[in-house]
Amino acid sequence: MNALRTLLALLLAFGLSLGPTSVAFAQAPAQQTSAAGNDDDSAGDDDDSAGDDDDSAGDDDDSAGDDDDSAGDDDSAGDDDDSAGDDQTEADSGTAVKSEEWFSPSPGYLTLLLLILATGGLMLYFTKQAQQGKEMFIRRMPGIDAIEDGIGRATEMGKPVLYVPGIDDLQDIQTIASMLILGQVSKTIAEYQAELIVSCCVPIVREVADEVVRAGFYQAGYPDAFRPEEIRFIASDQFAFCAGTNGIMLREQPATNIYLGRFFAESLILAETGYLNRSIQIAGTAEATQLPFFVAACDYTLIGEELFAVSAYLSRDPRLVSSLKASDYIKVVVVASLLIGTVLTSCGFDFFINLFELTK
Amino acid sequence: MLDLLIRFQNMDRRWVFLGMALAIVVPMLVPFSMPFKVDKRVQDLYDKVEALEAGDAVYISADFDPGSRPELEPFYRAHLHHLFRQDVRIVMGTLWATAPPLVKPIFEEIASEYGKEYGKDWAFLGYIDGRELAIKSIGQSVRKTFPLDDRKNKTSELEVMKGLDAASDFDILTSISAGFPGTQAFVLQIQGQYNLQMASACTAVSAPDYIPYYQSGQLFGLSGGMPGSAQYEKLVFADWPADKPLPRLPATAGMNVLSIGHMYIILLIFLGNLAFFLTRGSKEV
Amino acid sequence: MKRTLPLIITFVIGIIMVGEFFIPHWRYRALTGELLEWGIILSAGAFILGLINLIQVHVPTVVKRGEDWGYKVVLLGSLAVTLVVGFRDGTARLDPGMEVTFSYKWIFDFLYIPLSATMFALLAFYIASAGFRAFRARNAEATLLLLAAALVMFASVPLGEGMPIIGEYLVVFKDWILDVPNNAARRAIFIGAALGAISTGLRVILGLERSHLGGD
Repeated sequence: MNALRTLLALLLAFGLSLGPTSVAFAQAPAQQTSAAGNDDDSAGDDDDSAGDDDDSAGDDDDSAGDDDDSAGDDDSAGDDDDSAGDDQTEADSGTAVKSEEWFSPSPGYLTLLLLILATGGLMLYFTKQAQQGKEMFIRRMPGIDAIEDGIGRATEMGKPVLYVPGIDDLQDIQTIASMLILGQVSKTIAEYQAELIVSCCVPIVREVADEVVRAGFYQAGYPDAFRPEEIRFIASDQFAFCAGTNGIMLREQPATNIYLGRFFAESLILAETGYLNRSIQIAGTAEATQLPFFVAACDYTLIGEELFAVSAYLSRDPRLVSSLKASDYIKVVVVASLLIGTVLTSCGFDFFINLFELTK
Repeated sequence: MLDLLIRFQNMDRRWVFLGMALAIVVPMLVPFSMPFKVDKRVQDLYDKVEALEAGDAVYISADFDPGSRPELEPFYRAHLHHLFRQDVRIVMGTLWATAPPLVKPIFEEIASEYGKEYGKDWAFLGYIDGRELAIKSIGQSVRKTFPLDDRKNKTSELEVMKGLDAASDFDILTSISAGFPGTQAFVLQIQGQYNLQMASACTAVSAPDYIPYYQSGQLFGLSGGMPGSAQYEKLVFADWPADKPLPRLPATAGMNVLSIGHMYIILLIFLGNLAFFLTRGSKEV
Repeated sequence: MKRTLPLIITFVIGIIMVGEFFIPHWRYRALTGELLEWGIILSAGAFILGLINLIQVHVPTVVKRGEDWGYKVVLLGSLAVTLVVGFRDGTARLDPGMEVTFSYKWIFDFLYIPLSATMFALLAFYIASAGFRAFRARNAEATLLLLAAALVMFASVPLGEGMPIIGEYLVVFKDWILDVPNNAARRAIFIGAALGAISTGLRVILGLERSHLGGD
């Protein structure tokens, strides 16, 4: 039954993406020629909208309402040339070819849209399943178990746990995932009655971390143990933050360092300083450029999407587990597409990879 | 001997740091030059720019900071020389707050060397915050994203912006990127959507990340780190007129330091492994 | 309402912005262009939040003479000086010659640049020590990792390229490592991370995920 359900889910997702693309194909040539001639100089907005030009916010002009339609730029619907910079199309004030199409005719857009809809659909389906009590398997990740071990170690040693949620803004997916995990980690820390220090690079992240940790302590039944001064905003600058966090490591000597989120060049500096302190270090990021440094310097590293899986693993929340399952199924679709595309293209049939073409 | 090898494996890391310092400083004090080849990725970037015609337009997003200057500033300088030599219009913006003090003086300096006029041949639009939002906005409309340039002129009234608004209006978009927001964000947000002709100069650590984009055609050229900058310098200044003094080529000079530095690390790894194997049975390790 | 309103806003704006990729109609693009501008303004506003937060966090410690209060005085003092000097210099702050006297450009050229470059330069030393410590051929995978790293490092510099006889082959092999196994692994990580990002993003947009709003 499981295999049948799997197959049905696959066919559903796959069939959705295949079906309507033939319609898109039929329409594409006509739309290409009709779009080519549109030629307005809509982009010449010469009134002022609020915008900083240098790093001083809030400039001298401040009318936010430029009612020019500078956004009428189109490329995908049949640019007859594929290079940017068709400045020959407009004499004067910018090109901004106004597209009258409500949907890009290139088949790749439809395929992408269907992929996203399929992901959403599967997520809702699995959420319902999870809410009905169906057990969903998530494989064990050693780094996750290490988090709890690390917290236990910190408790025994009487030293704090340092949590670094990356240096990117809250809108970044990795930071959101890190906040989800922080909620679970703070709950565990409260239960163990250990100390937690959160080092933040972005003020908004600091505010959200404050809320998340407070909620974690509350859920564990230790609301009074929460200390807001341990949720620290260090600096917005990457290396200033790195220096500040290193300072925390060297002064407060945390027993466990957890780096989960988006990191850049400071990753190795943080990890090496933590190594000097003999801290247990668990890292996780989807930033491929920093993974080698974490792998070299940390005890456990969560690679790529394992970071997103950790929040589901720790909480076993039906919503989180269901989205993990949905993305796993879509991954199967993607892999199948890759294989099929490779085979067909190698045999000289391009129709399949054309389904993913964004520009025609 | 065994004792020595064990001590070597467990040595204070400050000896490693000292060795690294010497490996960097000595080649700087005792310069020597070694020939190097040009990668296809850099060659493609050069060829595409070389094929531009007078009056074509290029948008440069110069997004680096003092830390990445050694790797990216040489490319930035060479690129400006290359573009001005082609009589191409250059419009530059930046997404990093720390970039304007670095890029603006160089832009002005090289523009004046070629006798280029601000507003007509080139323009610096300054810094815009917003990261991916700003990139998305640049994709739709550069004028709307930067309503005023760095000198408080209206962007739409600049002669250099004639016929240019959306990112796709430019013949080439060059992303000189030290991290985020940078090349990856441009590729993910607008390159595919607007089918931009994009090139990238990035730090060495990011180059392996962007090679897939080069292979898939999303980037037509890629310069990675100091080696990439040195190779691009080699191409751009190959036919420098004999009567003009050759500008300083920092990346080319830095390649020798890079060579010695890399060799030091490789030697360290080799000796460390040798010691590891020879002391494997020892309980003291 | 405290939690419902943000969810509604997230949903509506999220759907509109996802649609921006698919809908090229100029009216829709005008709408999303406006939203992007709002987003940029909000993003710039975060600087003010950062400034306030910095003061809120550090001033009480200075007042109470808490731990490391002296360093916090330095921090706040530097902040104030840079702000004042930046405003004083105005639009001319990056002009040539400004660095001759104490100015915004002076602070940037002679304080910020060296400090930032120093922190970044630490990486060279840390890479050496991390490489020395971590690159041990303990097993087959570690050996493969170490050989690939050494080869790519060696073949990336003139010294390696210029090796007699083998130099050319080293470069070819290095390019193969970067173009084939490296690309395969990177693409796999990209795809996995992108799918994870899609599902997390959809969770947030659809309101299934609310942890970032605080509490649950």
